[in-house]
Amino acid sequence: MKSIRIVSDFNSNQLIRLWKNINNNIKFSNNDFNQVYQEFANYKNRNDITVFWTNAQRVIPSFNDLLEYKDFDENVCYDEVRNYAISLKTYHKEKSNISIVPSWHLPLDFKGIESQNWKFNYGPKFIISKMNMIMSEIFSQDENIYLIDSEIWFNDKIDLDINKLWYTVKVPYSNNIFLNSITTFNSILDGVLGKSKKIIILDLDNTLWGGIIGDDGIDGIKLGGHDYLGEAFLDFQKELKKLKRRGILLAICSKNNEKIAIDTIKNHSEMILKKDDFVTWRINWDDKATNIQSLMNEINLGLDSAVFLDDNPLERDLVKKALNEIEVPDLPLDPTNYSSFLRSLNYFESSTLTKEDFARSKMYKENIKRIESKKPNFSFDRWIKSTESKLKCIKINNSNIERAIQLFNKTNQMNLSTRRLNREEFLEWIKEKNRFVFLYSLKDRFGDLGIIGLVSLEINLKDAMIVDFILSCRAMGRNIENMILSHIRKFLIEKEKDSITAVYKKTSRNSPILDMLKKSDFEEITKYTFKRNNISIYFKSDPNIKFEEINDKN
Amino acid sequence: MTIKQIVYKCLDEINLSLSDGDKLNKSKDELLIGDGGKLDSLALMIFLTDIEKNLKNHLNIDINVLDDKLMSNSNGPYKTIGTFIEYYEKKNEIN
Repeated sequence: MKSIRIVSDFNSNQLIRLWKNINNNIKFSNNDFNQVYQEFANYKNRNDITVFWTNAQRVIPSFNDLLEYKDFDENVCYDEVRNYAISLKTYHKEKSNISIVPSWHLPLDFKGIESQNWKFNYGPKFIISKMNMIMSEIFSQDENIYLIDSEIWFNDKIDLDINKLWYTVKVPYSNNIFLNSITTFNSILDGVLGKSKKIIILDLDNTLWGGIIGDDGIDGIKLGGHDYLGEAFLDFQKELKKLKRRGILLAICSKNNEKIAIDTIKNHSEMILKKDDFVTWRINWDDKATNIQSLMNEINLGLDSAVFLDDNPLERDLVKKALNEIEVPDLPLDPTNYSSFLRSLNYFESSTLTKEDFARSKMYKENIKRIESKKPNFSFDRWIKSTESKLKCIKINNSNIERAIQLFNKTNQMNLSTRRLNREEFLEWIKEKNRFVFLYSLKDRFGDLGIIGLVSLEINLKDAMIVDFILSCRAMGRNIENMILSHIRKFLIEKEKDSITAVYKKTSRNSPILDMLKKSDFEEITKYTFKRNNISIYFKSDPNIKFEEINDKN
Repeated sequence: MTIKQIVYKCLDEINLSLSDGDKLNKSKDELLIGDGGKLDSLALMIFLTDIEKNLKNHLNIDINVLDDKLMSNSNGPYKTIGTFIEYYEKKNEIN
């Protein structure tokens, strides 16, 4: 059990209580109230970690004089700071393995004379900054003393109203401030103890760039350029690149066509992250949990060293449930907040920054050994069930025809024939009585995905042809395509048809639908022509997805 | 926000620092002070100060919740969460 001692000039019991509830395997102790110098002189034991959290106006008398507009001699003040810092350093050497020192800050409700606060050699803001710099210099030779910025904890105005707490129980900070500080302390300790995260696994579409590369193409995605979203994604990539330079590995896990995705990374002129920045990737249509497990096996890192970033809450949920050791923060809904969100994460602390950190990505790439992937202890079916997916078949009507036209003209990847039709052409086509069009909408417990699929059929005497099979990439890889095929089968059985045919028209982007047909029980009778005879033989649908068919109201 | 919501919000806050057996329930019968109360003086002060601050910030009620007489009367308005909420709701109505 680790031992942490809090040395402070305030009542630190509340800090300890909060920290203990977060880390219950740590033994805490603290000094008597306002006995900091006595602690330096008299404390005998040694602890794993000591936090020295004091307020300058209470431990540096000259600084208090300055705040009270008494006679002030800056040199005397700096001597007092040196004495304090040297005493602390001596204590650290004798009684602590690791020491954390929050930087001094002005009193939280300090106002001063605003025009004078930064004046050279006597403005309180200037003086306290210099005092922190002196401490930093004195601690610089000792790599296990960490002087840390405390000001980042005081960002909420309501937290600054704490005078009453001070007067009554000598607690100078709110719970929020203490909790912020504990997050920092813990991330520093993770860094020192080697528990920081080592790798970020990234989705691509709407995470590294705006839009769907398979549908929008390399020229259609938002990245850089004169577009606020494009700039936001560009900045997010810059933040990731900074982390990569610091030694954090980057990898990709994306449901996409690998060739198209890699081509985009290599050839999009605004990409900050280059192919070589990624230590490895899994770009395919398999579930992301399996992909991440295999990726982590490949680079031989434990799952607890990874962070997974994906804009899609459903994918995040799958990964969280299947691989509970991995950190899966919820990316903000608005991409303009991605960069600041990434900066705010406390996963990537490190106690030092070395040449090896800068070369880590290269090193991992060189050392990658293929290790047989262990199947994660995770049931894909159970996960599908947990999503509470509800697929509805809707007949085409005036209220949804625009979405149907959009599916024809925007969907690329899961698109059997990639027919591009405008409204008039489409209305003309469905005039024939032997032609049928179905739309499919999807809901799950994360929300309503709206209309995600379209199938058109042409029925002859005994046979039926799937003319269009279109599925939005939002709904791919979760058995929806099989549910739709199953529905078509059921419909044709009711119409007493025997067989069903689908002709795949190859484009540069629609390989996913070819994969689907190949995995189905259709037979490829000639190249790209798939046929299923005896359709009345039951085609398996997914019992974990609810299906409902509703009638056209018009 | 209502007074009850503020008290419950502050109760969530103070529970963050209490051990599992000492956490306060959101129940009107939960004892606040006196025999059987789960809060020690530090926790009680932090809890009440937090309520005072939130009453001011959310409802613009400027009131001294750390009232010595009320705090020392174990059969008074501070006896339970329920009596506490009721007392301040009534006081707010009167004002």
